Amino acid sequence: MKCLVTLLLLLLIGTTLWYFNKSEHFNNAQLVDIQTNNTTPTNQGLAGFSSSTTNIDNIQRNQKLIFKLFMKEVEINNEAKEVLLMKENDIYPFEFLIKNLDEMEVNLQNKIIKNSDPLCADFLKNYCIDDAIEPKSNPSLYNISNADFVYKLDHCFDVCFPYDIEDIRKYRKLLYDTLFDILLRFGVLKNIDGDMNDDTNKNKYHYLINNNNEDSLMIDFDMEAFSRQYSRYDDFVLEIVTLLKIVNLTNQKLISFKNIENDKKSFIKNNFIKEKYKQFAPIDEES
Amino acid sequence: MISKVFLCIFFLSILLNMLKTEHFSEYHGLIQNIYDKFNTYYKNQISKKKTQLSKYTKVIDEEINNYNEDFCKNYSNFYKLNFAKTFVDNQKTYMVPDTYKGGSFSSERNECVHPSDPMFKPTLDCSNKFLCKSGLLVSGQNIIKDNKESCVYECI
Repeated sequence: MKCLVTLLLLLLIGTTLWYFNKSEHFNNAQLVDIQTNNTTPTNQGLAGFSSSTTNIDNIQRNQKLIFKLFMKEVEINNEAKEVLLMKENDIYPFEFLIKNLDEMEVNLQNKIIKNSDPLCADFLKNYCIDDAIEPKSNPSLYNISNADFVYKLDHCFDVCFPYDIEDIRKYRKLLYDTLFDILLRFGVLKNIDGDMNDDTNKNKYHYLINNNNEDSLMIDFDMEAFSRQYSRYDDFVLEIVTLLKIVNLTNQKLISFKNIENDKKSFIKNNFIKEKYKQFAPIDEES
Repeated sequence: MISKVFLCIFFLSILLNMLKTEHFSEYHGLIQNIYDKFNTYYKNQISKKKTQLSKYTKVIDEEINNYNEDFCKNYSNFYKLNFAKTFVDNQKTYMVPDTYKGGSFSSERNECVHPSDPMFKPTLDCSNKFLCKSGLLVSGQNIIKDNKESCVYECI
């Protein structure tokens, strides 16, 4: 009899201990983990998209190569630096815009890849925050482990990205087309002579953007327009500064957009814990 | 004696369990409240930043519009095809279009427009067919001839 009572007691103690160990719903450490779990920003650039065969992508790829060469030229020209560098932040707004767009394009590329993943298709349908900023409250959506949800969130959040490739092309066009148009009009870049596709123009802007298929190119810049002695210096600088103003505003807009996306991600995390915690609380309290 | 010890442990664990449940109940309410507040905080932040985003879009559109107006006024070129002005050079037929400088920006069409004649276009399009003297219809290509934007036709 004594043995039977002892066994029964051991069983009860075991059950009690098991119950206390089963504390996933209110484990503080895990709550902190899910709240502070940061994603590493991706900075891979456009490598994945550079093979695009569409005409506009090829033009913009070549424009980027020319832009990089132009910025190298600016780096060694103090007068150009004076016009193009934001001294208070020590950044070139044009370069900063390209960096922002490259990051957006990587996110977009991830979105395209992950859209075909069933796990992420489910995430897009059930967890992304829509324009009404109202997350779904169906309890079954939150009946998964924290670890599974964190994985799903980090793996699939890109599918919530609201931009598409046309938006990115539009921003690139804004910078490249306007900047190079100014540089052509003020003689920093040479205009073509004769047939645009003739070999005699092979080191000129229009030829290169349409015909270059290499990863590097050669082009000459005449930086005289940045010199105060240049006859149309005021007109040139006025146009560049106006473009800088537009690009600065665009950068602020893109940063604001990025912050909204970060807030949405934090919101999804927070809401998951809230809903999951609400879901499991009655079971805990009943016991 | 052993069974009494186990019985004591048993009752103690029940007591602890009850105390824990009470604590958890308060804790749950508090945590739920915190997460509710964070949800509200994130909603407000997102709404606020969306409003800011719209403001940026509006200011950028205005700045672009101003830039375009200045550009159209000072730099835009318009081209009107004029097949009466053709000449032959090195077995190729060239057409130099009529040109006009200056204009205004049309936000509806998102391009520079000529003040009065809609036949003047902001870009020179040479793809229209040209009737060669031989009777052959050919498309042209854009070319810079003597520093002027022109169309060239390969008439046989």
